Amino acid sequence: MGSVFERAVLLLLFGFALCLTIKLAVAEARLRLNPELASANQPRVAVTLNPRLAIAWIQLGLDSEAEGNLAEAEIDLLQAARVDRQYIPAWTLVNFYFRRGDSANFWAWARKSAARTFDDYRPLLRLADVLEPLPREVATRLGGSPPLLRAYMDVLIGAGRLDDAQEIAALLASHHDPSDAARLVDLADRRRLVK
Amino acid sequence: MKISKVLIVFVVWQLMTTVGIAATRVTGNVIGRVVSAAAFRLNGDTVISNGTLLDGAVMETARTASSVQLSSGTRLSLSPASRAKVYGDRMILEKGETRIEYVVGFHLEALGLVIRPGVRPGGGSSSGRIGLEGDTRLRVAAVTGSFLVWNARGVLVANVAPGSALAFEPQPAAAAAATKITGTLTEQHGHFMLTDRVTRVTVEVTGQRLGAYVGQVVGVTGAMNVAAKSVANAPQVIAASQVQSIDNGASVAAVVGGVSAVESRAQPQDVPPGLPPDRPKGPPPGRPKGPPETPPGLSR
Repeated sequence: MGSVFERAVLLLLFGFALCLTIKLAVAEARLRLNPELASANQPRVAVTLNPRLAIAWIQLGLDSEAEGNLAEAEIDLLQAARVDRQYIPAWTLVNFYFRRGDSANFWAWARKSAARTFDDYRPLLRLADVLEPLPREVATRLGGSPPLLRAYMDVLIGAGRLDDAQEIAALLASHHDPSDAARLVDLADRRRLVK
Repeated sequence: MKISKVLIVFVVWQLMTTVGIAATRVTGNVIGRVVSAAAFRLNGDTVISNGTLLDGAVMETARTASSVQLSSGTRLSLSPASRAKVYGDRMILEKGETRIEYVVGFHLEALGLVIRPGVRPGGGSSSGRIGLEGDTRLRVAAVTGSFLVWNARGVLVANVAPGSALAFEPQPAAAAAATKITGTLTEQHGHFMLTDRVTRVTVEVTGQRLGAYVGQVVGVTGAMNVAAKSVANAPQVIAASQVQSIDNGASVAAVVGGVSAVESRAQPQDVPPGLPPDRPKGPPPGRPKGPPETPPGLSR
């Protein structure tokens, strides 16, 4: 029974590999027959060769957006997000919906982007802050993780919005992380100095 | 009873829709977007792959150029190791270089100079490279079409021809009116005109015994007469203090409107006509895997 299962798996893998090989061979043949295709539309060729190449889908989406073809741009960017569930496709969609003024989709992808950010939350926070005037609402919509709250505090303090920063500080304090004590005290000192 | 419930649901739905629509109208200060094959800085934050430009955004590149596309249709790129402030209608170059690919109602500022694309006879946009060389020198290379360079007081300093490049250096304020130009002196209806060989700016020259030099290549030193208006429709009038015949082939530099200008050699990076100056052709933007790296020079 085990051997039948193994054979089936092997057969499936072989079939999958064969399909990919044929697909690549066809794409390569198309390029050879029409070399202009490669120079004229590199990202399209790239996704033909590798449909899971998110960066090429992103390039296609951005190109379509530049040409004013927003529906196609959205399809390509969503495809990028489908094949790559990491930060960059989500961040690209956040920007795309921000530029379009599509707040519902903006927040949906901003939350995903915040969850996938491994580095700097500030670019995302700055866009969100443009759309939503209430800092607490921004923090909540983006998931409210402590790293995000810390970054948001920095953004607000940098902009001189100490009262708004205090709202975020209250959210951060609710996580009871001792490492935030210095940050919270610093904000309190700043507010005292201003008053 | 049922009808009233449906009505309430309908009203609530309408209200939510209205709020949703209202919320979509708050991104009016978006001026465009930026795309890069690597990380770059936007308003001091590290951004990967692409970002949205709001009016007055400060962009900074490290090792890779960033392509900018504005809502107006203007396309340009910021070369590696460059920094600029971008508005909907202008860019203030603070460091490095920018490549102009296509401009619509857009100009560039650097070192107090204003660079605008010239009008092309067949339409279309000028393209070229504009870059700072050190802290005091600006190089303008026109690839297709020309670029007009103005000083801070609105005086035309140069008309950079397609396929040529000039390097500009604003002089101290005390020398703002100083002018030194070279070209063939001509006479039109009793007025003496000269088009400078370097800057291609035409001026009306006033002074003593100019008639003796008509038809000759002369060097004119003098001062710009701001109050005077040229009757011959030249953009400026120069009161000559010294006029001398010079060797036709002598190498020259010019000072116009308090800005010195010299011809700049073509650089290998100058994009030949017909090739789009900059759009990342290699890998498409983005880094699909792994954490982002902060490029050297972009301190966190």
